Amino acid sequence: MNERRERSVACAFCSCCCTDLELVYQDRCIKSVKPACSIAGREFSAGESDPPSLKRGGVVISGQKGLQTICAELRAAKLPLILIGGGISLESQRSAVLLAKKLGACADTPASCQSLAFARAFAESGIPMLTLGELRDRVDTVVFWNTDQNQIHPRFWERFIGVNRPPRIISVNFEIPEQIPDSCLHISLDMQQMLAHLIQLRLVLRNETQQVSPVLREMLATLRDAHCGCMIFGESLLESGYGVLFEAFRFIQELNDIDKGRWFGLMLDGEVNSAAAADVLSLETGYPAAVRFIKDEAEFSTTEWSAKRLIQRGETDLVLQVGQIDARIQKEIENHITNYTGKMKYMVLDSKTPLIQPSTWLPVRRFGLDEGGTAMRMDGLPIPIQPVQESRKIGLAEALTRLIEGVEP
Amino acid sequence: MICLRGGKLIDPLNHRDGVVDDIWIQDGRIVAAPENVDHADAIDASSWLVTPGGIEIHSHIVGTQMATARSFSLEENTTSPRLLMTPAEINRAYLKMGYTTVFDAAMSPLMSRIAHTDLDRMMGLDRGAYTLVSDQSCVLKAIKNKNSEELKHTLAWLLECTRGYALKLVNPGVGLTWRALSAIGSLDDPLADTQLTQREIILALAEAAQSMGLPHPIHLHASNLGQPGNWKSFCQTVKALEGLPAHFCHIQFYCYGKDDKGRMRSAAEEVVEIISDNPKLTFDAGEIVFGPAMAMTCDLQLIEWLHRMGSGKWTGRLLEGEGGMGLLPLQYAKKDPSSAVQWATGLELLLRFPDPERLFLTTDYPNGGPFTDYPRIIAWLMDAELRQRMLAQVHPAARTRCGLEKIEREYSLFEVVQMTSAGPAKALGLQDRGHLGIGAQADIRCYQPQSDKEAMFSNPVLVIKGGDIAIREGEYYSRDNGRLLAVQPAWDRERLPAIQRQLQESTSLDPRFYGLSDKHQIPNLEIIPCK
Repeated sequence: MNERRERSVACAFCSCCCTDLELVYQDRCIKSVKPACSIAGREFSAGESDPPSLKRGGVVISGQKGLQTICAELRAAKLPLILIGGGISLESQRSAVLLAKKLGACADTPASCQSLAFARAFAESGIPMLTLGELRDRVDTVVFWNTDQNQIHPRFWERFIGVNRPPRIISVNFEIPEQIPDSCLHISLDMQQMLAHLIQLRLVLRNETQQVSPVLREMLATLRDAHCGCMIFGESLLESGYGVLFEAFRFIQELNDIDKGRWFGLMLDGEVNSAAAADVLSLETGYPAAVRFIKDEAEFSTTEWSAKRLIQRGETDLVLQVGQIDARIQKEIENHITNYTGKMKYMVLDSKTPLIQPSTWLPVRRFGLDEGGTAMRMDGLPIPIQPVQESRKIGLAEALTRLIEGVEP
Repeated sequence: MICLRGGKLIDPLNHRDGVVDDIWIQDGRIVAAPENVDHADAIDASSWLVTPGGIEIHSHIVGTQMATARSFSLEENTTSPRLLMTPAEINRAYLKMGYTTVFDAAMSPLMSRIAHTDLDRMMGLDRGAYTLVSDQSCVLKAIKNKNSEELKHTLAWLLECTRGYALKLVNPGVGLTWRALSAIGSLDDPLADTQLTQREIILALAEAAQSMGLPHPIHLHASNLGQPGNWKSFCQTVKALEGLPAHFCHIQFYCYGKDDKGRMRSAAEEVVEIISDNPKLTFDAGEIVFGPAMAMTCDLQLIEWLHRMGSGKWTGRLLEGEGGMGLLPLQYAKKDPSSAVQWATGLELLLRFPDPERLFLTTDYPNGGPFTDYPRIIAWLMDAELRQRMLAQVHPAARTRCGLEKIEREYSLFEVVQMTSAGPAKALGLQDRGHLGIGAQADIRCYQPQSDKEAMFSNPVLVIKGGDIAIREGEYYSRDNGRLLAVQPAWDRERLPAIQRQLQESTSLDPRFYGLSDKHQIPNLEIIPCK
């Protein structure tokens, strides 16, 4: 049997984007991968299987005929909506925007699912950020806010926290992994009260009150002692709304303004390129979400053109989902389909079986496995991804290119 | 073949100032008038001024910082025209203004893949980017080792793996010192971690760029930008080069003195006196225009200083093995004394400096405002009366603390072309651009003469890029024939494993993923030869 090794392989199955993997092939199949986490182990060994069928009557299509079907539907639609998700390459995300432009369609990204809460908090406060190498080498105090990185980023700890010297750790509402030293300060805060806690921390920091719980006082003392600190925000905190995010970002800025140390923030994405979709749309149009193309110009309006609104009001007659999107938006789609069967078509271009029932699904190659492109690491570093196996399926980039050509009037 | 018939040529590098002649174009180049012509598309240029295409030497137009900046000004940037344009909009805006070659001012090696995907969206222009090297860990190690060969090979590798055009220095060592909670004081203060001084870094890189024969020398953002009284430290940096060639960027921001009450004043006169005698140095202005702007820089010390001075929100990103980048929204207001002094200082600098082939027009976009305001600045330079009218509208500090009011000089068209085309081409080592001679690339802008110079320079009647019509009477026809300009100095590839080992100490990436990967395809790449 033919055994072959491929070193320095990059992983695109979470936004850590590890670049140190070694794949062992037997004949043409991936036999093993190391030092893989549970996600990479599962995804790299998935191989290529025949596309599964959809339950409850949707259609699985493939190849040229499938593309023709989607093309015809797109051309016939009055107001199509292109939903650009994660788990696909930046290049495919860009092609999806170009497709929307060609169609005069609406385009939206996961950023609008939270009513642009993160984008607005960021725009109003700003936040200093850092790359993961700086986190590894320089940071002496780390605060994990509602992170579940052990589940969604299994190697994050091993690669980026305390590799050379262990930092002080404060964990807020997260399950402590075994590696964390006993000295870690673990804090449980009621998520419903998170806004109040953050406001209180800021008031104490500014000497505007002394009334604070002992645990928050201890936390603040540790933060103020840091030379270089980083607050890491998990997805659940990112979903908690504008107010919490704004207070958290202001808290970081005020630590920098009032104390000597330097503090940074880092957002933990789940799916690779999920947050990057907003950057890609912004690059092409100037706006991160909720855009409609009218005569090649992009019009931005969260009240008019966000996916949620368009679907809730039944104003779009065709949703084309490219990549993986927020579960809540999928729920909206499902509700709409249930309520208004037949009025809105829901088509999916993705490698994974959609969570809810689309009317049409064209399975494509899996980014990071049989499709290459660029992945954006959670700290914003671009990582080139090469395909590691062959596939009979059509690639997403190719499919989108053909759709763009196909919808030409 | 195209023939531009009977235009008035403004072509400083060929000493033609208003000479009436035809320009013949074939295969993207300017050619001699043929003896026999079977067919040529003749364009009547007899009422036009015909000049070489504009060349932008310093503008922040691509990369992660632009994407972050757009998000950072989500609301402000919804108005039209917006400050922070998309790459496609930048492409059009430059071409519409008659600019045909554009360089991004600062490309992080770590983020170069993003910069190049943005540059790929500007296919109507010839474009390039300067690679940031002054805080890069392998570069600093080579300087620390005092090994000039190691340094040159490291720099050549960096330029190649980022497809860069020149070496960019930003307040050298600022990333190190900012991380270490300190600030850069003088040229000879030892910097955190390395104990190198800024003088050592600047000299080593200037010598390396010269010895490598790079077409453009080091492109230097000096220290103490924006601070009242900084003209002295700026002139010290100029003198520290000891006669080596260099380009100093956005120098308006370094022309500040203090008046007897400690307030910011123009020191343009003092700076011009020091810098004008050194023919190996070139400069760009970094003029400001009133309205919204965005501080976008790798100088984190500057961003922090602006924030502490009360300029409001900021964001940034610390980059492993390099410096970092920061953003801070700005607003230049006519009635604000500092803004007024900055505006007047920039014009004073441009008007006092005697040689427009060595001091070029920029706004350090978006730091000083949009590049689309160049025509307005040109109009002020060409018309003393217009300047006086503007002076009357702005805060009196522009008159009392600057020398602009008494300057009568008015730029000629010839000088405007020197400043926006011929000079930048020479400084960048682009021999086939910036002029209309035989063999030059056919990058041409034509104007209908009019008394309103702002209107005239805003709307060239015809822009030709690489021999093809890109803009005609304001309409966009570009065939996206622009090229990516890069350099490729030779280097010893056997040194790569050693470089990669060093890189691994300061970054969390496998070194093979640093910069652009080997497989990254650059469309229409043009390698500009080293001397």
